[in-house]
Amino acid sequence: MSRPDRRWHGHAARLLTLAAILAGCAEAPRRIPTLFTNSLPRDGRGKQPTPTSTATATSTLAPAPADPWRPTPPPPAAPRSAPTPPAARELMLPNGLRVVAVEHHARPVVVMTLLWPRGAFSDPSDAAGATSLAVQIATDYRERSDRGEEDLEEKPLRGLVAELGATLDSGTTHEAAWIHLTGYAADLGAYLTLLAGAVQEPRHGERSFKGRRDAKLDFLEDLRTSDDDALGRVMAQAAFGRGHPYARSPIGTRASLSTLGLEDVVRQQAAVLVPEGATLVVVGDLDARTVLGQAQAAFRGWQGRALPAPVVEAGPAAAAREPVGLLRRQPASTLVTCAARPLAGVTSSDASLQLLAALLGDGAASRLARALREQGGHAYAVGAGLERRRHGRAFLACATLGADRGGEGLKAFRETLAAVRAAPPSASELAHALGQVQAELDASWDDAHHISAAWTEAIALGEDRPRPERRRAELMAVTADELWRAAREVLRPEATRWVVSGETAAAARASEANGLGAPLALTLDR
Amino acid sequence: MNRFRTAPAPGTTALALAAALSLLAPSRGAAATTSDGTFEARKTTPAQLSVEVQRFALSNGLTVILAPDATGSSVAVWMRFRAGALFEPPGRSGLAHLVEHLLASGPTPETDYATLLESRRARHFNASTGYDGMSFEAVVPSEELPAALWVAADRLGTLPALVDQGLVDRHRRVVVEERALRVVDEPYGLVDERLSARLFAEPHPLHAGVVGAVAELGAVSAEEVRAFVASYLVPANAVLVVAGRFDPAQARRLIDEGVGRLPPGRPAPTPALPPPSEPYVDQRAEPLARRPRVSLAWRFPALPRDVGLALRLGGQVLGFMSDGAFGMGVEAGLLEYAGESVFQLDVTVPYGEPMSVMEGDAKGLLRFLTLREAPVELLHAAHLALDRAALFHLDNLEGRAAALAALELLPPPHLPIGEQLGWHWNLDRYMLRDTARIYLKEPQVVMHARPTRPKAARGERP
Repeated sequence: MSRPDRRWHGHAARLLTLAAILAGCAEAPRRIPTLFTNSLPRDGRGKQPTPTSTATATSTLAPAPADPWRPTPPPPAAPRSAPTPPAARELMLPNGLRVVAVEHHARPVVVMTLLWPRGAFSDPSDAAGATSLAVQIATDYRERSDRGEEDLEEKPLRGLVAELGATLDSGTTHEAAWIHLTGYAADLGAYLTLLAGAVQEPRHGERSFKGRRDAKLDFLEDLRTSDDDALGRVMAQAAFGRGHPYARSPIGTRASLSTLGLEDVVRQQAAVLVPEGATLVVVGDLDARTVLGQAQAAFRGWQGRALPAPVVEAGPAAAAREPVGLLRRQPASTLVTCAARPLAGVTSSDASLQLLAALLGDGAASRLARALREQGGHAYAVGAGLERRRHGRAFLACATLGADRGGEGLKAFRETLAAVRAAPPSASELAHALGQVQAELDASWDDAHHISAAWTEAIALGEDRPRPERRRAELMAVTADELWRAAREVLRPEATRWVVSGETAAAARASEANGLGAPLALTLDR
Repeated sequence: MNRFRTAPAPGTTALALAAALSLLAPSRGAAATTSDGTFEARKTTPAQLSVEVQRFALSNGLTVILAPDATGSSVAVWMRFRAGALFEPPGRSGLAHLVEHLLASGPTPETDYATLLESRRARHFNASTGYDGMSFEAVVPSEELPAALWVAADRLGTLPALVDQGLVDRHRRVVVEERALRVVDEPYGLVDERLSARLFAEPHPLHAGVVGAVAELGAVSAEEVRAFVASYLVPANAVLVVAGRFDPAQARRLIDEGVGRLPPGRPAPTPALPPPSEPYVDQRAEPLARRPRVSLAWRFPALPRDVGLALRLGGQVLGFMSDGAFGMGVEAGLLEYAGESVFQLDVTVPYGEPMSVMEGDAKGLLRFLTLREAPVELLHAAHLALDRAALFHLDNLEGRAAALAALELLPPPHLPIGEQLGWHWNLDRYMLRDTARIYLKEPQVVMHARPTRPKAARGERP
């Protein structure tokens, strides 16, 4: 059921979740439990209260406090205390599988991710999308019994996991693939057994293959209107360059999927779902030493050598000014407007660029939030971020401008970027940016999902583990001058690629009012 | 024709349904059975679903819940008021949500709470408005608890006097842009808006949802904003939750010296709400999404606890029917708020399908609840899923604070949270069936969303 809550600040706006914009491989959307949407019992005796019972029971005036409130200045900032990351134990199995166990004992739950360092970049040249399907159908039906007869009563792996009260999903990016499970700590042994069975003898039913392939074809056909996914594709082109491998569809194209056969996918399962190079990260209410032993027992029979690492060419340096790219979307009352900056050749450090992104678009007090939202009323949601990948990085800033005042909004957007280039940030702005990026680091250790994400994101980037203190030290070392230098290096107008998603006429008006010429319609890689 | 009795054929909703049902169909060696063939009992004790709290009321009527937990590094400060869209005066839909925007952070350097807390490493600073409640939320490092509690008090003590018409107009523009993004440009957004208008037909205060009708929003004055704040954003109408790593004695002192000294105000009475109207079938063209959708919705007066939980359990069972391999999407759930509840079932398929057929399919799904007892495995999995979701929700600081605040504002009696969250285990499949039969008869609203550009069935794909 749809959630009625409306939020003041657009953190939740999917369009501006930069990771989502560039993920480009949204598969089944994750269902979010709505357990606490004011949805709990209201009467312990099962009695139905009358609509006005609250009123009659409680509408008495409490006495005024003897010592009334008076305004005071805010308390001074407190000395920072750094959170301590939870201890992790790990083990490398003889077959090349690395197992990491992290203890977090707040609730009896576990989060488990089996991560392979091969994704769509490892697709055979004539079978784009094979890796994505290979991982996905491994969680579906088997459809054949051991004796080869049809076995339609076979449950999908997801069903077996659901019976244990857990959830399971899978996914693929350009450079990684994973199976992810959340469930009860008490069933950890059973989950490991199920997962080990699934990867040692991957499911590859004909019907589930056809169903999943059709679902991907549906997804590609829908790209015209599912704006955030379509925008993700064109933004990847703008951020990394049209010919860059990151600009390709990680789930394949209509042409490649249409000719893909089950045998291609089965071959890809054998090539990708191997222990060598893979990492199993288990986080939760567990004894790390015990988990390592359980994992060793469950996965010891799994064999296979990893594919060679794919060769990915670096992205092109930012070209001379390009016309505004237009992703046609009709009907649309917003102009989702993004500035993308490929970073090939840029020397500013990740830490400087993360702080620049925070200064521009992270939080309610960022430059874009102030200019476009609080002061101008041009946009509900704004955001900026550094997109880090194994083989490239890009800088993005976006806003959902109102289409009726798109020209003014785009002008304010461009002026904000120019202002950041024109003068160094103030000490308070640097402190705000630093506070935002540090808050994200601190949040990595507070609950099982965050801890798991910190580990898997680091590993997917090719790092062996999360290193928050090193990142924190790098951030703290950035000066206002270095931040300004990064702004001058990155936010050059001639190197910025603008992309607008919305109605053609509104986009043209906004672009031409800013002297950027007529927008150039973009095509999607389908 | 009852499509659930036909043999599955490729490319039909029935195939998707058959596949979905087999997701949890009985099979050899069911993983959840024990050696004697019975199903495992629940895996969670009430203690594991509990949160240890200190609960007290201040002299100005503010209810305070302290939930200390030394395992993390942050503290959440959540202040929730009985001040959602239900409490808006006639002709002023959207007022509550606009007030929330105006009071989240202030217009002067001294009241710029966003900058203050974000500079002090707040990982979460936000506000939200729903049907019955409005929340102001912050999660900060534990040493910054004084700053977060200072903001909670200063917001009520200082901001209302700073609200003028210029500020209202500026924030109204942002709200209009929020509607453009989250309703107009969102697949099924305008369909859902129409569905709300039917389900909460005027004079119901929710007829225009939380965002409100643009014309009514345009008429809101600064004076009306201040009046709403004076009536509803007052300590006697609120709960303050502090959860996470902190010293309860320090928190108590800071609360006494801050929000504890604000003038009390009055608790807001829940408004009397008009009864549900006659059943209504409506349709609307859907210009964005390409999947046809049928929604069935029921609005009830406040439900007895067991009925509400049975419907939530039913929603969870129906949610198992989604199947990614075959493209059918099923979402179902119960939303409870002050004085009422809504149950809604949405079904989508990835290709053009006559709406009458889809409506039949949606009703067929419901018959799965009403005409038979849910299979034990399915019900057991639904119970386990509810507990698992609760555990993960409580593991997350924002989730824990939000849950404690929301539960507190429900009418009494207030059971311990662990008892409330685990109560669904008292329901069996017969109670689920009987509840569904009684409550999920004729839907109050059936809404057809017809894509303007439907796709061909998969079998017809070139």
